[in-house]
Amino acid sequence: MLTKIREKAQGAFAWGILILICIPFALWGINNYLDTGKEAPIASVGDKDFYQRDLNNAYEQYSQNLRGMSIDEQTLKAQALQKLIKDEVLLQYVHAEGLVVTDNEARDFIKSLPYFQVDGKFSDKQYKMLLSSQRISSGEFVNRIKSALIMEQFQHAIVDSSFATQYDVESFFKIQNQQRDVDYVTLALQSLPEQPTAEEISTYYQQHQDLYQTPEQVSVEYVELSLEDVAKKVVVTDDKLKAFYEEQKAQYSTPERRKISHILFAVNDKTDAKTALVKAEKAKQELANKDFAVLAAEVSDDKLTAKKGGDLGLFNAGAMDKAFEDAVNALKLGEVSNPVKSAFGYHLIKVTELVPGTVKPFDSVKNEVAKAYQKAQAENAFYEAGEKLTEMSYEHPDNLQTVADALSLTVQKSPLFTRTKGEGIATDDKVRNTAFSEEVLQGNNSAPIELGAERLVVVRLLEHKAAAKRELNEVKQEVAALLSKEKAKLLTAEKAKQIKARLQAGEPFQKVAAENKLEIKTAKGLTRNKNALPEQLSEVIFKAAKPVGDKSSVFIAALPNDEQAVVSLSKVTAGVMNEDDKKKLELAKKSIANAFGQTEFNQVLNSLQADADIEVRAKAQAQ
Amino acid sequence: MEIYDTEEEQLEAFKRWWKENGQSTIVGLVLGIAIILGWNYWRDHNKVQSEQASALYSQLIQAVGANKKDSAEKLAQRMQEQFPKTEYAAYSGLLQAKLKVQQGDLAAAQQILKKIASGSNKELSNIAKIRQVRLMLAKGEYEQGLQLINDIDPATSTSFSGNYDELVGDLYVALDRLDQARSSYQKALESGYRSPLLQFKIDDLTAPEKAEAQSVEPVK
Repeated sequence: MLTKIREKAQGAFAWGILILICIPFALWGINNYLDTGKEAPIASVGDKDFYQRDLNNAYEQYSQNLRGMSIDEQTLKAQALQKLIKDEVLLQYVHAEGLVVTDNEARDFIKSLPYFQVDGKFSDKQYKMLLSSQRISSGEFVNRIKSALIMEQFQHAIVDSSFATQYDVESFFKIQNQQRDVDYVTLALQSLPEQPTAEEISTYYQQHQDLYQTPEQVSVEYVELSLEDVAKKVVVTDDKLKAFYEEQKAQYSTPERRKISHILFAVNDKTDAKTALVKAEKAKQELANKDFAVLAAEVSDDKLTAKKGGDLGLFNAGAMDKAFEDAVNALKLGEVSNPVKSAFGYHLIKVTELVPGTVKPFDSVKNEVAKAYQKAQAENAFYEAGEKLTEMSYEHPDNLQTVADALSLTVQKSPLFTRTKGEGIATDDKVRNTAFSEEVLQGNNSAPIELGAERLVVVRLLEHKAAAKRELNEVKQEVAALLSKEKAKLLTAEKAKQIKARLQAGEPFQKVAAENKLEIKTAKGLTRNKNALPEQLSEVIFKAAKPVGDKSSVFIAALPNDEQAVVSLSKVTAGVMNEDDKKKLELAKKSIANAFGQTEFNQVLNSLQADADIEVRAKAQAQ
Repeated sequence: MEIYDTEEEQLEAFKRWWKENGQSTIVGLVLGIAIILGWNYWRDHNKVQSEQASALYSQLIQAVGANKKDSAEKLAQRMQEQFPKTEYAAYSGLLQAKLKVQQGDLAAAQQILKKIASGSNKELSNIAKIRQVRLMLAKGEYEQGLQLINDIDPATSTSFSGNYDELVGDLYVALDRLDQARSSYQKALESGYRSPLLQFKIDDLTAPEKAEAQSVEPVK
């Protein structure tokens, strides 16, 4: 009796504590509860913490959008984190501003999403299926949608309200449709009067020793332990294989396929369960002399499938109520069930296709089984051998033979390789880095290097060739060619400068060009988007200063193939809207307004971010 | 904390405590419930207001998107009358100003923006000022535009300085003071501000000396 009272009292006390604990839980919300654990947040915005997995999710989404572009993961992750923070800042702001979205609006929006539609109509089944495959509850999903919608409300307020005035459009076309008239000459790369002297070559060589070196190289001997090799040594017997096969049978079989159709008699506001059941039973009797598909089309309340004779497609376990599932599994091919109750109402179910599950017989998959068995068995042996490899290569640091003998491995040799490039085993940069580590260069065995999860390699130094300078004789031609080119470029640039200076001084272009045996080319009415000049030339022309008074603006443009152009810009005509532009005036206004709006919205975001309480841990940046 | 050995002692202790504090506990509870109810009522009321404003705003956004100017105009007006205290009223104001500009009534747009600019929301105030200057540019009120930007307290406009610098550049271009325009644009660019048209405008204003230095290929 006493013990009983004790127990009761303890129980009540514990209950009281539970209440104390539960109240804060209710207030904090479930998020904090789920987020407890050892993991430290990588960033926070106000009260909201972000964890590594949030970043990983954001990164996944972010990189999906940029698929096909070659941006390294590091940069993308940093950008994904920035976006995560930016979005959260905005979300907290719009909440604080008191923006809301009604349930109706959120629902309408979700219904308009094509992911959840079948034949252009929202399908509740599709919705539930997609959400459960994403492991999101409907409530959480709706909340996320609401957050997104209120963020959009704010974005609309800034971006959609932006406008462009007539003045803005005209200023744009003033520059966009501007015309420029130029005369120009092109100077080819000048040929040199003389080759560089031996002295010049030697001086350049002395000053740029680092350019003329052979890199440091090593070769190594190594032993390799791989799971595959260990597996080959595992002894197999038929008995063991058979036992393994029985255990892993699911791997060697295909599951049963059942295709089903149904006729639904819905239970809802208009029809109660009793009426539906009566209707279902009547229908079942009718089936005696009527085709199932025809009847489905006539009477089924599941309008989507009714058109297809009630076809529900392949039956997946877990998608429907248990009663429904049991009924399906009990049916034979072509048989129709009695009325079955589910959350939707009463169903008549028919199995229209039944491919029984198959199991591949042992003999036909014996090789596969043997491989899988060996691998499973080898994992232990591999682990043990790995331990031994680590131990012995450390205890006998002056040779590899001992450990090779003990584990019956062969010592192999690599060709020479550099720090940055190698062949065979040295293709892997982990191997190269280890080979060039101080420990190995001093003549010791390396620690085991993991190449993937299933290979271990220990290396030791075979040969070490220090970096050596290449002799002047060997590289003379290279240096001479380089010097010639540099000189020729310099000469060309000098000449271009001279011509430019003479033109700026007011000498006639004709005269200067003739003296230099150059041909003047003229281009009038060039515009930004349409002209036949080389891109580099056109770009420089449209970035050049305008002529002042009647004095041309003279400048040089570097062209591909080391050519130089000297250009004289004589006239700039301000752009006006042409007929075509006028036709598209509304569109132009819209584009410019949108550009303004986006820029303004970005600044608003920057402003919010500047005022927000944001913390990013160093770890997040490094990862 | 006291330690009680038996059930009876615990019960006794509790009875004693109740005699002393019972009345005030009940009063406290009743008061607490009243506060919670009042709070709930107030919150629900606010929620209904916000939701109605939100729904109206959504209609407005749709009307603007579909270019239905008349109904947009009416919806924006209704927002000002029915929910003047919500943020949605300010947002609708911005949209209303755009509608006025589209109708060519720049003065009316200016009035609406001026009101938003004087509000307490820092971001909206800056946006409204930026747009006011754009209207001044269109109306040829260049000096007034410069004055407006000059009067802004830098402490409240840090994140928007790039946009203001670009506008100052535009105003100087209109006034044909190209050197000043150039340095304003340059300042905007150097602050890290990006706009699609900024580089385009800078390229068109290259100063003579600079072109010379830039176009000669550096000698290695």
